[in-house]
Amino acid sequence: MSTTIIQVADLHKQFKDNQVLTGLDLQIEAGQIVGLLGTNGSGKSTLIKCLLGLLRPTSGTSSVFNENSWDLSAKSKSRLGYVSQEYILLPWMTVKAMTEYTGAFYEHWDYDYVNVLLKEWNLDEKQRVGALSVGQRQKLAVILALGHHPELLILDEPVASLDPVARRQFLQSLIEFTEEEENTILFSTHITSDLERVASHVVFLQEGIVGFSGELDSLKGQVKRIRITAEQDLPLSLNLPGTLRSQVDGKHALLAVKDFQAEVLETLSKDLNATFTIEDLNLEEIFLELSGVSSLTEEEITL
Amino acid sequence: MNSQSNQYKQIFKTYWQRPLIVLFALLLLPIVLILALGETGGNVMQIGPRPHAPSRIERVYTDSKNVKHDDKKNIQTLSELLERVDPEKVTALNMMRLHDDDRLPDLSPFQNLVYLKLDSYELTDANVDQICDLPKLDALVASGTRFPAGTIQRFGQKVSQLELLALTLEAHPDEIPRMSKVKLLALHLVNASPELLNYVVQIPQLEQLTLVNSNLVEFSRRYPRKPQAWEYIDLNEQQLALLRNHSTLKEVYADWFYMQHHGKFEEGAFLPVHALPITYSKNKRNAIGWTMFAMALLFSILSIQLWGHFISPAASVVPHYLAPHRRVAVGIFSVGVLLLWLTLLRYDFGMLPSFSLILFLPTICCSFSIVQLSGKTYPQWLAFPTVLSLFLIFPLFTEPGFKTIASTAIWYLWGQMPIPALTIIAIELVSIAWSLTKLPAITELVNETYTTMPALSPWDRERVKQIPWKKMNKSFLWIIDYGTTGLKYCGESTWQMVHLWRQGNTFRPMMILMFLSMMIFFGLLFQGIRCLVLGEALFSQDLSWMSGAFGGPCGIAVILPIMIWWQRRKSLEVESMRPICRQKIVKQLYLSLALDHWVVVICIMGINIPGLFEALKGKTEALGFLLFGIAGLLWMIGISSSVLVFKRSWVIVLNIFVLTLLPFAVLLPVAILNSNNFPDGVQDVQLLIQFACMGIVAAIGLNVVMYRVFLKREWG
Amino acid sequence: MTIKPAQFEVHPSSGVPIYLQIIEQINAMIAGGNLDEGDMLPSVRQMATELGVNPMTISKAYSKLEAEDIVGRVRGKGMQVQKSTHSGNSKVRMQELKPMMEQAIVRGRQLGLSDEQIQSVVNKLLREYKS
Repeated sequence: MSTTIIQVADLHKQFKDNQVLTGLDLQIEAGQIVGLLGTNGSGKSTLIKCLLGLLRPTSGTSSVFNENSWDLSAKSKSRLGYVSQEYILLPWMTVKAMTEYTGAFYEHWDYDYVNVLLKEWNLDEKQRVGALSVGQRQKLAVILALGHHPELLILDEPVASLDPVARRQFLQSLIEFTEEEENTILFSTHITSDLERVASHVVFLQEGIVGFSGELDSLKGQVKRIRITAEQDLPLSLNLPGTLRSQVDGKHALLAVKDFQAEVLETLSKDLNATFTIEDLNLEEIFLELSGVSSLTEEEITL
Repeated sequence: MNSQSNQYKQIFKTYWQRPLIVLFALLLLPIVLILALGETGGNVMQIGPRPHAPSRIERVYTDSKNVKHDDKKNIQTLSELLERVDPEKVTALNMMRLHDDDRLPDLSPFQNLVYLKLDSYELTDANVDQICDLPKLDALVASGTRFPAGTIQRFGQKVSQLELLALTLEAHPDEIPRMSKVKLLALHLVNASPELLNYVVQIPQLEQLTLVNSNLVEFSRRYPRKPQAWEYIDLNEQQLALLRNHSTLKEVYADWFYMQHHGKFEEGAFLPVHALPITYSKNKRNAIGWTMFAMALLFSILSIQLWGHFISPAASVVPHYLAPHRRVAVGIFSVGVLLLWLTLLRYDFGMLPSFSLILFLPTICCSFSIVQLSGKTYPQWLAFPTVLSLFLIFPLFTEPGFKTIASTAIWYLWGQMPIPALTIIAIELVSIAWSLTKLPAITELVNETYTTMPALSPWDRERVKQIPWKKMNKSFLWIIDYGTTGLKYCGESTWQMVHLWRQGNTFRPMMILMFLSMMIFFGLLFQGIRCLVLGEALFSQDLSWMSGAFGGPCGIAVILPIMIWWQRRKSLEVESMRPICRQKIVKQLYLSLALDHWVVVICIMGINIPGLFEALKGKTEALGFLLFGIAGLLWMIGISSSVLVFKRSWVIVLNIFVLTLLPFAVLLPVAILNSNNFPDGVQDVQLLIQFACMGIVAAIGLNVVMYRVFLKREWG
Repeated sequence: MTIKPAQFEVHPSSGVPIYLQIIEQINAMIAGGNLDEGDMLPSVRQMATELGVNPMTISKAYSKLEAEDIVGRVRGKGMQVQKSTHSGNSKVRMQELKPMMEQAIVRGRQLGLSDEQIQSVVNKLLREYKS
């Protein structure tokens, strides 16, 4: 039986004149690895900060571990780990001092585990945090979030500045983290390839609300690109339900569909006496299609 | 041309788009108004030199019989003094006469007396012998008129600082040329004759002459008011010639009001003698202070803005980026300087000195940057004169300090020293111009070596520099590292959590210890030098310099908590996710900040130690001061908490300024109103205690409000 | 014989869900004779670590295969390939194959291939995937 770890209902957040979150609903169960996708400014960081109680929502509710986000108890905070986008640590401390300092706040801090990770990720204990490169600092921030073995890990653009090797290492440790069945991860990123490897669920933010939320695999099953070739000219509007984008060019048509249903397509192709090919889209292309940004054909560019 | 004017318009726009700059500009405005509209006179301090006492003057009455019981508390007779204090330790004495027929008592026990002030006693020969026998006597104030013959001659051969009534001097004209030791003469002009100066110039070694007006002297039954020849000072050409031709006379202090008002006062007519005022308005001195403050604000505005622009990537990539910015800054600077200069002229300052005063502070900052930037050693020696000149300015603002340099200072401010003024102005202009040309290099240096400055930059978030941390000076790091290892989870105790939070700051109590020991070292050094130069005992009674010494560190100690926690603000976003509930985090952080004020307590105690000894005589007074101290401390904590409670930097700065000015704005009018109503005495102390209690309540209220707002702070 | 995880190829960024890719590859291996009845599949953890994907994806693939009786869980050891027992008579199974073959033949016609050419392709494949 999975329990709801994160519950968000009708969340609004406004900064001066700027409405960032406009009535967002979200539910995340234990054990899920959720990737948060969205264009810059769609409210990913804001959502995460509202979840953690770092920002106060203008209206609506947000709860983690069944507690109101703004008033998280000490126990709940000890069950979650957070890596922020700016990962600002105390720059004058050495790495070792930083880990010990952070550890002193937690009752169950695993010093051995932290040391193992430090070695694995090549972080020199004696160096000052301020002297680390951006990538190293990011790694340190992740280690500090993992040291107390949280049940919920929330990461805000964790791999943005990591090189491919570091990124792979990071994803590896995320995977190890999920070996514990009840551990949940929520991370926001725009590197879709990482999401495809690791995430089980995807939440897609569009204009301050959730555009799509569900399993990654089912998303891939739902959003497809269809090429239709017919013997005669095709009508301009093909009326396929859930069409995101439609390009009709004489006998050929290119459609991007959400909520793909094979039977409906078959019926349509029989009616139009056409053949069709279904193109599977990877997450990046799905992202683009759902955002409404299409890859332009040559004709459209010259126009 | 259109694009150029558009460019300048854009640059100006960047100035008023930053809230911090607007805030500073708004603070600058009232200061300029104060300077332009404030009082130029009044609130005077006496600067005419008089015989000077090296330490605390003991005020003694000759006899206390027939004195009303209530007043007896304030009266101390000689015998009472002798009981209390060892006469060998008394170096300054003021003998007051209660009854007309009191005689001067025996002063021979006071062998170390340097300064003696006598009320209008009738002196006998024996008295004069006794006085002249005191071996160390050098300053004498004798306000009597009936002296036996030969008295003033003997006085004149004994002491170098003498204060007399002009009548006395004129009564014994043949003794005057034999007053060989007198270098400083202060004369009370009451009932003096018009030919007074003829007599005065006969004093052979006279260097400083102070002419004290009659309206400063109280009239008693014995000296009825006659029509005064010296009602006001109006010297004719013959008298001026007398002064000019005197061989050793350097300075004449008098109230030149009459001559100035009638346009007859010309400093040049006195040369080589300097004609200086006998009193100087504190408002004029404060005007200098306000000017410095205004220049500091103006300079800060320009530096912050220029720095923000020059560290942006556009500065190195876009062609012709820097020049317009520089021009705008110079333009704003020039306008500001011109405005301030015009207002300063109201205060009777000459044109050149005002100019040099205005440019003083920017020059100091520019020379600091020269010192920092140059790789070669020669310019680095500039640091010493820079720091020295800073220290020169400070004594100006203390009363004893001003008095010692008053003659030079006033002479300079009146514009009578054009060549030094011109030199100073030249140096200032050169250093400012140099800094302007080297501006890109300066900003780069600051950007790369300072880790705290980025807080004031609008591009703050993108600037995470590694270089300063790589270059860190190893020798001091051990202080900060101490206490960061071996930390273990300590549970729920608030005290331990507060300690843990404070470990995350770069401030360590050990630094205060080191600083204190440095201060003690320098203090002993200073005292030792004083002892050598002035010939005083090593630990004389005059500890007033200690208050001054603690003044500087006190200023630093007050902003120390703000500085410490300002650095910590950024990382507190992530640190707020530590497993502590919101109420407890707020409580622990607030307490940590409050605890960092222990330094202020020490400094305030250091400042007040001399005063405390005095105040403890009246225990209620001490209580009043103590309560006031507590109120002040609590208010300070409330002010410092702004750095944690608010997110945006300009809100913090604004809050600090408002909260700092608020108590003064409230207390000052009330104090002024009340000081007129109540005479000195017991009621004053009760009022003090009342105010102190109200202050404590207000301060507690402030802290409660800040705490409540703190609870609502968004850390993200 | 146990299959090593290294023998699998997974493209997370293709449009096909990872678990489907794994299922397809396992099926292909069984059809091609690389995996026999009684062989053990690598553990979920090994696969996830080696391929760098979410273990839940791997276990999803394994569960789906288990649901179709292609593999079975052996306590203490892991997943074991089972003898393919197909339900339903051959007519039903052939009907299942028809749509996929139809697509292939239509494509062949579009490419302009003759019957013989299409059949030769089919035979070649059948030889590769010997049952």
